[in-house]
Amino acid sequence: MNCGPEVVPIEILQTGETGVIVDVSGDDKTVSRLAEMGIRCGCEFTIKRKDCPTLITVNGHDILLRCGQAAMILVSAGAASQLV
Amino acid sequence: MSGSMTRPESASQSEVPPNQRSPRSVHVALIGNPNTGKSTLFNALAGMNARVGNYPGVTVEKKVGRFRHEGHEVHLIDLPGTYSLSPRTADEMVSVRVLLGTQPQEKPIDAAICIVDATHLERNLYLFSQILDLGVPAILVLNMWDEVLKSETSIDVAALQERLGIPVITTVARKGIGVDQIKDAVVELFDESKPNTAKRPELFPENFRAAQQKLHAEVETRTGRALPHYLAERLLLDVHGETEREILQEDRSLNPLINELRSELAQANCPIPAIEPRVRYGWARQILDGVITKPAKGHLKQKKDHLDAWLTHRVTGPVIFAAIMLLMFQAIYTWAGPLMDAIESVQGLAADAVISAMAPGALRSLIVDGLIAGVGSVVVFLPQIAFLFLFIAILEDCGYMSRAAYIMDRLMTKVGLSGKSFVPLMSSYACAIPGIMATRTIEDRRDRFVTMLVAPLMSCSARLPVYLLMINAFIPNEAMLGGLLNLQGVVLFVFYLLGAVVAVPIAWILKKTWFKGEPAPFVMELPSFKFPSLRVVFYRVYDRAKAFLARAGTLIFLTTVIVWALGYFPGDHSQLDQVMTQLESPGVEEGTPEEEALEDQRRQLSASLLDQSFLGRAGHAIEPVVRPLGWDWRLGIGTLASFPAREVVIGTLGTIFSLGGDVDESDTRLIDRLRAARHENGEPLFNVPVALSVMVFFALCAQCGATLMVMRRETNSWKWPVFSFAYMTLLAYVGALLTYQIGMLFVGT
Repeated sequence: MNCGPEVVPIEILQTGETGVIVDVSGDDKTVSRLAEMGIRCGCEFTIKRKDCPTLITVNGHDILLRCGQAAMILVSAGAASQLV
Repeated sequence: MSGSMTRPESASQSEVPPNQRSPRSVHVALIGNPNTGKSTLFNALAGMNARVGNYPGVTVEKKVGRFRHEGHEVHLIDLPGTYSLSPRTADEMVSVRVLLGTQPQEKPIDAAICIVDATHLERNLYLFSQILDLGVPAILVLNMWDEVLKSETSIDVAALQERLGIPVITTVARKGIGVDQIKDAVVELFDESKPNTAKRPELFPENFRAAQQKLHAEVETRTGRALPHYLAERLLLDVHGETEREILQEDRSLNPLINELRSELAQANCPIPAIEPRVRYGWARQILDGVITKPAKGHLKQKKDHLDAWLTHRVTGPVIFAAIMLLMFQAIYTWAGPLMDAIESVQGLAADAVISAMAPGALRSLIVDGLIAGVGSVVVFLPQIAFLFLFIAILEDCGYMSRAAYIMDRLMTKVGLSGKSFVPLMSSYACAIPGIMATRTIEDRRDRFVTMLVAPLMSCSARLPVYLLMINAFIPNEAMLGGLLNLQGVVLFVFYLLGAVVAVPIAWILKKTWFKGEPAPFVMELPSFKFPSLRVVFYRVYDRAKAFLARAGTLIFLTTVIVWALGYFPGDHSQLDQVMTQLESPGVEEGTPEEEALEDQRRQLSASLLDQSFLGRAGHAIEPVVRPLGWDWRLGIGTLASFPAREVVIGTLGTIFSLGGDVDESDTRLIDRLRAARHENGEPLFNVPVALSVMVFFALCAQCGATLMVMRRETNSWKWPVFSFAYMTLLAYVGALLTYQIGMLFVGT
């Protein structure tokens, strides 16, 4: 997938940080499920609570991700922060 | 019904050709994302006319209802909440089949009502675009419209309706706003004078459609089956999905073709499965462009986050959870009391009326000792059951249960499960049957099995009567913490925890042995908090109360009659009847020596008749087994009779202790009968360790035929229900044994 600069796994971000999802990787089933729930490339998100599981907000949906899960999501950190 | 409503692919497989069906009877499916208010809308549309069942062979709950509107009879079928119609499992396939009209024993659908959360339109339209793909006439319901009005976002409904070419209706389902408009829209769909304006978007690119056509044709030539076009699409899109599994089962040789088409598409910049979200979200964005006007970004909803911060906090979260649970059991205990007293007094009046109207004999004994003492003792617990379901329904509907699942995920991972197991386990507190059925939301097979196997340990509502009876009778009503709590409520809470505590090592062992493996992925949506819908809460409580009474009226009634008959026969009751007639004659004054002598005689006769009965003989045979638990044969036989359904024990004990004649005939309260029960040597039958031992046994034992049947159906094997039954019965016996033996050390004999 096309990667912008400073692409990092979502798990290293802290509570309150925002970003844009640039890649979701993993088995097809999980990736499709995540996409149906709204977690997909190009989506802006906010880390609502950095914990295990992590609570993120994507398009107004609060979604819980277990730590292992979060590692599969690569994000461009801070990209959306200018917009807020 | 107009011809344009008929879909070519489903018409050939439908049971009733549409033209033969009454034009005034239509079938409509209700579908939507989780947490969109679908149940609320279903209840608002169908009201009391709802029935719940199961589809054969799968674990999907089937909920149907109906309503009449302008002379039309509309049959409503509620499909499970879902984010998509991409069937990955047999369960998910059911919804697709219902919509395609190919689900066995189900009438073809004439239209689909798709309910969406108006505040989150984009994602909700993903599912909606799949419904359009299916070719079903649809109505789009924008629910939670009040939230949209409150926010700064505006939605141009007329423009949306124009773009989609289908009716778009705004509703506030929990207030019943817009429900009539939905009914109007459903009826209008079948008005032949109205042109069909629905627009079917061609979402996928040309090369994808070509591949789909090719696959469709190939499946037809090889299997002779005309695959619905939507399923041909799924066959291509869902790698290792349910459609692929079914088709390959029919003809394995299709596998290379499917793979070839997929890799060709991938090379042509149309990767499977990523293409689907790309085109569907692309379409949704296009449809919504200009329809939705959002405010400039900023501090959107911040208010509710404060509450969430507390509820999901690492420390305060679990503390609040425990406090809510404790309060719930306290409330159940306190509030239901007066209602129980009322039912008991009716029970007493009924018994008195029968006694004064009938002469002693077998029929009177059947009515008083069998029916009133047996079934009546169970019905007394209706208020508690209703309160328990009331609390669970409120917690579920307001969105708290998902928060609890979040808090619990951390704990659940320690035993190898995930937070997803929490909701099924929590609902098992009401009843293990819906709990086990709710495990279908757990995608990981191992997690699902382990959850199912420990679910019956959760303290279901059928155990509540047993706990309440024993606690009421034998646990002192002492205030604790300066009157804030009382000992009886705390004991009840402890027993509610017991199953969950025992489940921890059991789940851990199962995950270490049969169900080894990495923890499953965990993704869950946290719905926003909302005020619970009174309607949904009411119907849930009503359904459960009805089911409980239905059981009391059938299963418990039957068992009670059998137990009464086994306890009454064989034996010559003429002497006892004579004594009773004398006792009840107007000449015998209460308190006189003559009355007391007769009363003594009645007790002795009753006890010896029960001893000689079939029940008595069987009871004495099993007594050595239950003796170490501190029980006598009557408790043993009562427990044995309750293996099909544990709440039966109340009725059975009611009958046994009533037949035994330990207490005054007029004293119909089972609780007093238990307190008065004696061993043959005159010692009281019960003390605190005996009561606790009975409770522990009922807490841990798998005394529920229905649960075991559901488990068999869900696991598709007898192995797991047999295993559950064995391990739980063993646990129960050992638990009760330890409780009694250790308890007696404290009490001393």
